[in-house]
Amino acid sequence: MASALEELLMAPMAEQLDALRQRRISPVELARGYMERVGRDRLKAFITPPGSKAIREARGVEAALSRGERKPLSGLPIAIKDLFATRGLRTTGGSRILRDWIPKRDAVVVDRLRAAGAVIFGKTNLHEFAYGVTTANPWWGIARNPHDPQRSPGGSSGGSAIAVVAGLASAALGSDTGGSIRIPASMCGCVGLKPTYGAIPLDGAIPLGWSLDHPGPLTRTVDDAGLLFDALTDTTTWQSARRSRDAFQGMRVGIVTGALVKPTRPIILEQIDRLARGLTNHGLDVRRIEIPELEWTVATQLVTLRAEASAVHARWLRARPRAYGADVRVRLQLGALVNATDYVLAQRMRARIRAALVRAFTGADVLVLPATPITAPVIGERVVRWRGKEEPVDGTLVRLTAPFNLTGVPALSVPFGEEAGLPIGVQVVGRWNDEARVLSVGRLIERLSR
Amino acid sequence: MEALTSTFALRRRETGAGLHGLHTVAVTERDRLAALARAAGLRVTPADLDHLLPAWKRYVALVEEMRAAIAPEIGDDA
Repeated sequence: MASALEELLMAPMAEQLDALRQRRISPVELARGYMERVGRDRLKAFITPPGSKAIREARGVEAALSRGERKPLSGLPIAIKDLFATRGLRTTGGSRILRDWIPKRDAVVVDRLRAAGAVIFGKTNLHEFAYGVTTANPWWGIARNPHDPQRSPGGSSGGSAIAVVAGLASAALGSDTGGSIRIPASMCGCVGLKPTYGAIPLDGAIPLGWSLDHPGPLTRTVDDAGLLFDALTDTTTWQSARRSRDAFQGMRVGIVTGALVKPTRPIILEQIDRLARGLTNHGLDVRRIEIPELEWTVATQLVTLRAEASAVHARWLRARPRAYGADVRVRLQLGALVNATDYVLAQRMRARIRAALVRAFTGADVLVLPATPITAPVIGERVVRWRGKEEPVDGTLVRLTAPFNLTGVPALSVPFGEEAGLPIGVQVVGRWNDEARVLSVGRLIERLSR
Repeated sequence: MEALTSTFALRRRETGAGLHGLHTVAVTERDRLAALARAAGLRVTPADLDHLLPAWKRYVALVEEMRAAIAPEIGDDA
C-alpha cells in the first residue's frame, strides 16, 4: 500500500498546495520526496537532476511561507525542459554543443515560475535541440515511456512528460514547435497545453522555429495546466474561468474528420466516437467538420521549420556539423537548402490554412480530434504502415498537432482511453486566446474518461 | 556504380595543371545535391548524403505538390 507521502507525490497540484498550506508537508519534504524518486529513475527523464540548489530554493519558499508570504505555486517542484535558460544551472538544449553552458539569466518562463513560488526542479531530457519527436537523445540517453520502457515517450518534451507521469515532480515545463508538448503528453498519459502563440514569452528559450515555438505546461490534470498557464502568463485566466459554472449547454464542438485524420488507429477513432457521445449527453452540440486545407500541414510545416531551424543553427552547422546527432544534422542540412521562394510558398499555404481555421471556428466553438494517430511507437521504429501505404513515424506523430503550431491557436492534449495499456490522447483546439474554453472542455473530457 | 539520371549539367574540371574549361558531364541527383550542399557552405560526408538524399527527394516532391496547389497570381496569362 502506498504511503501518504507517495500518494501526495502523485496527486494533482491543487491537492499538494492544500497539503502545503495546511502544513501537512513542507516544501523541503516535498522536494526530498521527489528527489528520492528521481534517484531511482531508469527512464532518463532528466539531463540535470534536481540537486542541492533545489533544496535551497525549497528552504527559501519554506521561510517565506512561515512569514505568511503565500503565492499561487508556493513550494511546488516544477521540472524544466532543458531548453529554457536557468540562472546558475546548466542548460544544454539536449545537445553536446551546449553541454557546459551555465546561463547568467533565467528564461522569462522560469522567472515567472519562481515569482509564483515554484521550486525549479532540475532540467528534463529532450530531443536534441527539440528537433525531433522521440527524445532518443544521442548525448544524454534515450528517454523511455513509463508505460513500456521499450517504447518512446514521444518528444521533444519527452523527459517532462515522464517526470509528470512517473511522479518525479509536481508538473513540468515543455515547448511545442510541431507537437512537442502534446505528443509526449499523449504517448505518456498526461495533460499538455500548447497555448496561443505569443501568450507566453519565449525570451531565454533556445529557439527551434521562431514562428512556431510555444512554451507550455505538462501536468497530471487539466486544472493543474490551467494553474500553470496563469502563472506563466501572469494572468488569472483559469482562476476566473474555473470558478464560474461550466456553460456547456449548446456549445458547438466540431469533431475533425477527413483525409488528415483518416489514417489513425481504429481504436483511437473509436475513443473519439465514445467521447462525441459523452459530450452530446452533456448537452454539447457535436457535429462533424472537415477542413481540407489542413491536409497541407505536413508540407507547410516541413518547409517552414526546416528553414527556420537551419537559420537558428547556421553558424554551428557549418563550423561543427559532427557535433549534432545524425538525425538532427540531416534535418538541419536539408533546411540549409530551402530557398526563399519555397519558404514564401509555404507561408502562402500557411495563410490558407489559417483562413480555413477561421472559417471552421464560425461553425464550432472548439475542435476535437486525436492528439496523435498512433499510441507510443517502439523505440527505433521508423515507419507506420496504413493499408499498404507507409508514413514516417515522425511525420505521423506531428500530423494532427502541427496545424495548430502553424496557426498559433491554443490546443490541449488530454488522456482518454488506452490501447493495450498505452494511453490515448484527445486534442481540444480553440480560437486564439480562448484557453479558458479549451481548458473547460478539457476538464469535462477528463471527467468523461473516468 | 550509380545509375545516371537524365539530368546533365556543366561542371568545371580541374587538374593539377589548372583550369581546363567547361565540360558537359552526366550527373546524378546525388551529385546535384552534393553541389547544392557545397554551395550552401555545408560540409557533407558520403554518409550524410546517403541520409540527406531521400529526405531531399521527399522535400522536393512536397514543395512541387504545394506549388501546383497554389494558383499563380500574376503573369499567368502573360
